[in-house]
Amino acid sequence: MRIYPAELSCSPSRRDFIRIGMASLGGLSLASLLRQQSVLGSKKRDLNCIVLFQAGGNSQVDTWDPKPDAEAEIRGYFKAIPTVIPGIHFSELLPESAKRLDKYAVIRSMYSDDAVHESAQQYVISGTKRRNDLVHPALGSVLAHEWGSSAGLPPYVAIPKNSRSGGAGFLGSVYDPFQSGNPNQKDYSVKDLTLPLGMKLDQARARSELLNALDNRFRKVESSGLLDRMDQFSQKAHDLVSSPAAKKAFNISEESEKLRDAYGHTTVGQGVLLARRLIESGVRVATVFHGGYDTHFDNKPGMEKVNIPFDQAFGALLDDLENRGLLETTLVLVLSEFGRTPRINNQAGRDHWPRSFSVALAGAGISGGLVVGSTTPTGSDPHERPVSVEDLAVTVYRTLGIDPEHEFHAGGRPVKIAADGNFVHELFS
Amino acid sequence: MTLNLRTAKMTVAGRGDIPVPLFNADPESAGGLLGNLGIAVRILSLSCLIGLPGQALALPSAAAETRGETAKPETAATDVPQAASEPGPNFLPDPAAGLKRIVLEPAELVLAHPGATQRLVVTGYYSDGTSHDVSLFCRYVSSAPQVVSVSSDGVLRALTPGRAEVEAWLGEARSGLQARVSDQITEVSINFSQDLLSIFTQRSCNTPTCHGAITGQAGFKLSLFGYDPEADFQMIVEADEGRRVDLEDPEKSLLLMKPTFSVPHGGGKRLTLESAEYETIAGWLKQGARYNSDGPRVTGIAIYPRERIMLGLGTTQRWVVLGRLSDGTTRDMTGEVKYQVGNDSVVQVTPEGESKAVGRGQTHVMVRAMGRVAVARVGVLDEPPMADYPPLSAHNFVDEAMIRQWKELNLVPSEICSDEEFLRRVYLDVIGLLPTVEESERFLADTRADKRAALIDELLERDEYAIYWTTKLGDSFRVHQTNIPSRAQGLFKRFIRTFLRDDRPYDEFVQEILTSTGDQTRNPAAMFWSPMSNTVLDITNVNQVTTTVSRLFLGIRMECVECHNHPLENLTQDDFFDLSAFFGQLRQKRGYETYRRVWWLDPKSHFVHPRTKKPLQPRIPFEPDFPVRANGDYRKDLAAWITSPENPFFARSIVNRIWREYFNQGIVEPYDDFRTTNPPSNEALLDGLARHLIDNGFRLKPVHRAILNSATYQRTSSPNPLNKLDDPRLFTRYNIRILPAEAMLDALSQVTGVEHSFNVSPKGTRAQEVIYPDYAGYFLSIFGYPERLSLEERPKEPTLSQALHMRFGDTVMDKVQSDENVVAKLLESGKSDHEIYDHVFMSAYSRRATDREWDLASNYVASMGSQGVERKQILDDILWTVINSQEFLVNH
Repeated sequence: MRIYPAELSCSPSRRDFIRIGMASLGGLSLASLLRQQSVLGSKKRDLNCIVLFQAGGNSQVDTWDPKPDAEAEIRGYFKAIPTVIPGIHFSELLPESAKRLDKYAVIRSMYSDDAVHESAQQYVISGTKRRNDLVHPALGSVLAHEWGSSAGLPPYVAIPKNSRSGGAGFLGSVYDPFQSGNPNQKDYSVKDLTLPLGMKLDQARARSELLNALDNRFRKVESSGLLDRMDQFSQKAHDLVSSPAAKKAFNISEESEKLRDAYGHTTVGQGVLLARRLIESGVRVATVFHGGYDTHFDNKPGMEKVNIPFDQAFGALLDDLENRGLLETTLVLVLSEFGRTPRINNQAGRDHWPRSFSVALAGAGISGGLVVGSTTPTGSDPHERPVSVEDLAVTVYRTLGIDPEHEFHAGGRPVKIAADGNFVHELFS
Repeated sequence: MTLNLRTAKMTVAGRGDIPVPLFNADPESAGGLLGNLGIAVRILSLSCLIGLPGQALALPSAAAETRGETAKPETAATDVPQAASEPGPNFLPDPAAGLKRIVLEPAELVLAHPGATQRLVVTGYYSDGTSHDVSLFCRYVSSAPQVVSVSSDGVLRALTPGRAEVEAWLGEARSGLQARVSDQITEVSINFSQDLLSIFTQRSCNTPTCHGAITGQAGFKLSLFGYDPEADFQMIVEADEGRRVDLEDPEKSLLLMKPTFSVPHGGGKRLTLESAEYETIAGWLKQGARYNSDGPRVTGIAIYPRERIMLGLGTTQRWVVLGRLSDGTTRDMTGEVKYQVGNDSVVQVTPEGESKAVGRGQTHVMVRAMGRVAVARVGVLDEPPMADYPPLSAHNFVDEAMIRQWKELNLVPSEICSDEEFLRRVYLDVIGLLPTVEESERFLADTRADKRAALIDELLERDEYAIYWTTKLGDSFRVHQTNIPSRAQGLFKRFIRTFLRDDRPYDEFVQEILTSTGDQTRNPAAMFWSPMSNTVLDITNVNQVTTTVSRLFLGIRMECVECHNHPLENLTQDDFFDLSAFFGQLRQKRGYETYRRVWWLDPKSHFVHPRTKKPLQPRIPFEPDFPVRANGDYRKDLAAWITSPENPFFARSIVNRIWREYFNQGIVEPYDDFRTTNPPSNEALLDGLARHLIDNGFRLKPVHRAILNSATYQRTSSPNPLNKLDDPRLFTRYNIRILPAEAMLDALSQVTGVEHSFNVSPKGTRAQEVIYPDYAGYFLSIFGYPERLSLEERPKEPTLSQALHMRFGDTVMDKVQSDENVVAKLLESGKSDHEIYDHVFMSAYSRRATDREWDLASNYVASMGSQGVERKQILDDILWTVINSQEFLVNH
């Protein structure tokens, strides 16, 4: 049955699959939803997405957009180094990234107007400003909704765990990410996919049978779509735990030591490696939430602590994807909720600065060796080719073959996947 | 206190008064936001209507025939067509059999000029409670055939100026209407700012990605969602030498050729030549493409019949829509409106307004045109009403309203549930906790006849009632660290909890919140404003305040009108600004510590209209005559209006919210989206609850008590053979739902006997009481503990993460495998396996294990024991199984 007032606010252009997707929240069976998704998703099965999110707000001046000619309070502690593309310099914190700029593009002229972590993150990850009545779904949740799952794996995984902003919002918790846990831990095993210590598979099976017998009794007297959907998830949970493929996908120890070293033995390093491993196994979108960028005090050690391991992981990822022929089909995004004040504060730190920041994009047809836009000499504002958060979202969705104009029905009205943005065509020049 | 709503009047900006017919409907004038109020009253009093005296049909049919025949037989009276002899979807072997009365509609017509026509509809009401479209079976008789004639299929035609009465006859039944034919030749004047802009908005022409973009699109720019009608008019009529309109040949105007794709259009085809919108634009051009026109305007539309109980799938209904014009005339708009239906698994409707019954249940057919809306309720019966409808006893007014509706729709609710089911349900619903084993045993052993009522009273007096319902209000007030500084959160929660515990009047509570100022650690009510403000920049987002207040206390969503006029309701962006102006003086500053935020009123500041940039005097859009002081704390006047017993929204929105917590579905659903186009499923029920609240001085506990004591609440969730597929909004059984996050975690701790450790609260703190739910952890978050960043509802759907975490996650395993869990304690006290099953079942399900369950558990224990698994571990498995079973995970 349809959500009651849904029909009223639908745009006539809305396509059926959105309807089916939304209707599922009101009562369509999950099975039919999944079927629908796998049919519709098959067109774009070849594309996947990896998001590296620098939570806390990375300093653009200390990374992608150095200002070597500015005064010391702006220039900061880090030298600018040449990249593989003549005339373009990055900060010395990003040597591996600099060497591989031919494989990706950087937008230096991003801007936002939100300086509060939670809502700014949500803005960048969802491409839509915070509203009073609705939480707009994160990119990963929209992709999970549009693409569905494959190979029996969850479509959207957050590594090591979800941030407050990576959730499904009004799409419903069905589209929240599956959380991997930290793959850099010794004896890492994925959350909730492992039997308790000492329990044999036989015992687990017998226990499940007992559970089924109890549920059958209840199901004889009760009947509800909710119970049907719970059944389907139970079945899925059971399949995942007993599926060697799922365990294998998360089993990062199967990667060679050499490769693990290349990514770096850090949370972000192993996290990015796990992201690649999952994408290769059938997960459609993996988001690595990397924290620690919020350097209000002592910017120098703070920046080194996060950007050096990030740089190593990002460089390794580009090589690895390319070697496996996955770069063409995988969109890699390096995002941050905002930049940091170009001028260093009196505690040797940098504060929140949404007026300008940088992002990087690779794969899925994005041209390499490219810098889009520039900032003013002090780095405070976009100078050439300002790119809004909405522009970025529209570009990302189009690149992934999803029409940002598609509407969901939420909060009693039609809501576009991403609105008010213009495609950044330079990324494909 | 008594409810006096008969005189309540509300006005929607610039559209004149709209009486609010709450209990004594005058549906003729219903329209706009409040139109539904009247309609459903009419529907629910159907049974009264049928039984009304004065319908004895005293007029001998012969007299009428004589009168008709002596006049002008060929136009005045027509024979009954022979449709009845051919079985079809509308087959009625004998339309007069069992007929109680017929109603001819519309009842009053003022036709603008000779030549004007009006479609009529006749509804037959039958003794079994069903109704039928009998328009084609009637004979129509005009008292003055030279003034109006009626064709055999019910189309009235104006012939000459004058007055006439028209009667429809079916067997002995008769119904009449008054028609007047005016001699003024008028046509409906089409207004640019209302009629045309609503089309541009509805067809997405003025969105940010089309012509509403800052720079326009392809040289043609419209204001975003039509916020600047004058600029749009100038752009269309005057800009570029007027190339977009052709007054000589209106249909050759670019304004029509582009959207119909008669010439290439980057935005594709937006209109068809047959659409009502095309007609409207063409009509406007024909009238000279003026900005303001002084001709008559459509002031309201009505749909007939306003309710219909259709018997048999495939049965059809033809709707008639009447427009009322500002010059007092009426107009047939049947073919000019857009038809939509709420639930198309019950009724489907064609663009021409022909409806067909396709499934059992109830829904609404809605029509809109020229920014006006009207709604008709439709019930569908797939079988004739049962002659032996089971006797249902009503405990109170809740049941009376429900039983009336069920009988009318031929629905049979589930049985009253067992004591076990009631016990577990009422604990979880009222206090968010499972009954303990001792509490369950005491209640089940109690033999008093009124033990359910006694338990309800007892639970409502427990502190846990206030604690649990604080979590629900906490969702509404968005109590969360992101929104409210953490050290102040506890104070706000205590403020809400005290209100609930003491059952202070809800109107007082809301007044206190809406007029609050000061240091929010001293006046916790002032914490209300925090989530709507930016505490980093010290900015209060007045728009968010307006949308939050209207949604929480009126159940009206104004988010749409924040940016553009409402596409479905008669609410405008200016209404939104008028309401926002009440909060124009509200300011905040930091206290001497960051968590001490201080709210104050700046008498010098005003809300500034975003377009005119002029200070705006506040005005209540729903009742513009409501007095508002010229200066001072405007919020006091708003609070007085909102909480007035005469305000039809205030009481209804809170009782609907409470109802929805108990039934998992509001009477209006979504529960905070009251509008004409989203009518309540049972108007009498909603009114009854609202009246009960007001009669009890706005105290909430009497409302809880009325709901909980009703037979409706106490019905089993288990379906009977008839109601398995009933719409959950018809409440023929209790709606199963997953336990809310806090209740789930607390139940888990209680059944396993292992308290949960939150890293911010002392051990033993229950999930409902955690001071900083922000740190509540993975378990609560996957079970839908809301982030409270917005006013969104909690997710209600199961997820894979839940299934995995319940089975294998550390939250559950830590309890199930604990050496101090309930199994360990029972083993220590020397209990047998069977005693342990009994305890676990009673604790988790509030019932004893069945023989079959005993056998299943015993077999498992024996089988594992023979494999050498430890007894504690085997019994832990039983515990694991019980807490993973659906019966535990849901409230039923």
